[in-house]
Amino acid sequence: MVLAILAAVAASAATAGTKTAQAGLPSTIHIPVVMSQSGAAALPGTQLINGMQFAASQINSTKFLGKSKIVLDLNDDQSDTNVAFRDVTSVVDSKPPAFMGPGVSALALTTAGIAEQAHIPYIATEAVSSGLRPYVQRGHYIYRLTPPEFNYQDITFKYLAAHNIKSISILYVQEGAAQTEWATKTVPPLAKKYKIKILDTIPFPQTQTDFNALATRLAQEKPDAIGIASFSSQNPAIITQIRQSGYKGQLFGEGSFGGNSLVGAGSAANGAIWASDYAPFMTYPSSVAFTNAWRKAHSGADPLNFNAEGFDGLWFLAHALKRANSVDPAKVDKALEALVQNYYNGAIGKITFKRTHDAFSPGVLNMWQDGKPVRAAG
Amino acid sequence: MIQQFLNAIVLGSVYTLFSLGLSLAWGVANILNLAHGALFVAGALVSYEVARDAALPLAVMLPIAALAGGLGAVVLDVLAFTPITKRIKNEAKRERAIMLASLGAAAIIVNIANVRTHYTVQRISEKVYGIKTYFFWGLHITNIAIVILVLTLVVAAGLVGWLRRSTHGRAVRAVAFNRELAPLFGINATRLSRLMLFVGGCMAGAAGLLLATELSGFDPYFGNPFMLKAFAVVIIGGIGSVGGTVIAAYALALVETYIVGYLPSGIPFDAVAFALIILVLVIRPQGIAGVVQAERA
Repeated sequence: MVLAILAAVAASAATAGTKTAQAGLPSTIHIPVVMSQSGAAALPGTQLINGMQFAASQINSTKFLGKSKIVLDLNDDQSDTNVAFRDVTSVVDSKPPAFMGPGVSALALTTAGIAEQAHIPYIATEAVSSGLRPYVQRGHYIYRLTPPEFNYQDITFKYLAAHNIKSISILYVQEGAAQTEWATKTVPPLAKKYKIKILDTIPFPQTQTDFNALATRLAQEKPDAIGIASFSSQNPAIITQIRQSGYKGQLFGEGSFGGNSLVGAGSAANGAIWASDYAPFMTYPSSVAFTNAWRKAHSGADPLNFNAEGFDGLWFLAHALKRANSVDPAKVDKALEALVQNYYNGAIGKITFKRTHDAFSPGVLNMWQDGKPVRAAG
Repeated sequence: MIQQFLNAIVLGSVYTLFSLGLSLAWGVANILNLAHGALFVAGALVSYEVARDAALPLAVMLPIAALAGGLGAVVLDVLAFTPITKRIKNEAKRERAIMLASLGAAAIIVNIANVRTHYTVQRISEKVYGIKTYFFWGLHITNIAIVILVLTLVVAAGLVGWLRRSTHGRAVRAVAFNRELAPLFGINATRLSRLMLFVGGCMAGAAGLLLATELSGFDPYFGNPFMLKAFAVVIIGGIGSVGGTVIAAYALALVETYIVGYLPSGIPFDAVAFALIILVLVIRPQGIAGVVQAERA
């Protein structure tokens, strides 16, 4: 029942005029996925894949593509640029109808040009840095289904201003493209907009393991709030050591706070806020449908934002395949181009494209409380 | 200023605990074990798995984590290092083969850890050791940091005493001094090498549990940054030298901490720290206590 509702919601999205005949589709449609299953980005990579596999099972079980079934061909880019380059080159040589590209921004940037030159549609999920922007304009072959973070960071600063935060210090991992962009490009204009003073912006290397010295330095600066943009695996140590230094102010972050990465910090993370494109407490109908279906299929466990993003990516492609009624990349691209002219109701809510191939969504503000994210009030 | 000094002392203890095992294996067994970071992960992983089923205290978990690392090192030695040493007589080729084998072993351990941790950060149950922070005179330190400090001092002092005073310790030093001549004095070099790998693995395993507790979690790759620092420590300290390793570990921690604490934002901390390391090596290429290295050359 839930599957049927979900399929109906998904099918209603931006697909007016789609024909039901699937004569042009083969019985098995192979969709290559180039994603990090090992290396530093293994967590988001594997969770994105889980979301895609969940979508594939729905697409197939609800016969969304008639007798055609989607099969995902997984390629591990090992979180490595060179491997991703090799994998994507090999994938486009096989002339698939489209493929799901790497979730790491740097890897997506490196490989987008390959798909572009080969004229193979590339569905990007999670690769949220602004570097992809030139590729996600109309006329290109890259379609990003995960909204870049700068599209919805305003809600974090609105919250900070409403809670009388007057000064902040920022800590970010210098090797992270999305994290560096958040700290150096997204935060300053928003802080200015809400009249919040930035006391310090401190980059640290990804090899940093002990954060006591940084925590002591930050505590001595006495900001009202500390912003953190690190790799997911670093969050528990940073947050714990900041709290151990005696700092009692507000903590806020960006996308890396998602994916249950704060579990390790225990109660030290309580009250930390961050904006995300998806959270299990979202009330938008297509989000609720996704969350319920996921919980039912996963013994009640909540989905992560990565699951939702992977899910949306593959469902969106399924809509394009249905519309194209063909696995010819040119026809699939034309169908994708038609889909982005409208909005799309996905797991992450209402996605608009604003005349680009880039997703926009309002986002939600999360607060970590007792081991899980809850909606941040006010 | 004093708080940052305290931070540096704790960090130096962490570096010491991690680096000593690598240094001993390299100096005595003549094995550059690139799987040392993975043994560190193995200690954390086994602790995590055990703590999920049984709420054992840290005093019980530490030997378990140490054994996980130590036995892991022995398995590596039995399956790879010893057979390679027996088959390849050319020293340069043997070293390269062992490095490659240890790199492969590290990949296997990390991949097992990936599967067991579901590719994400996992926290060792708080029932093993609940972290408490003590505030005094404007300073702060956690109970786990005190454990790390004390354990490091005990391990380092114990190792120095054992190497200098015991018969086995003297035999170990003899093997480090000249592996070929040692058997003439009735010393079983292979067995002693294995013992040092076991001791080094035990230290890595114990450090894995302590660090995973101090840093509120671990992932399969959390040994990698420590390997980089350990290389610096071992080379600066002098390969195989316990005293040199301890001095280098605390020196590196002090430099890093004060750079992070007081240099203006935007200066790459690690680049400055490693530039200083290069400077030390230019002035004293054999390291602080590079006797073994000089003999090896």
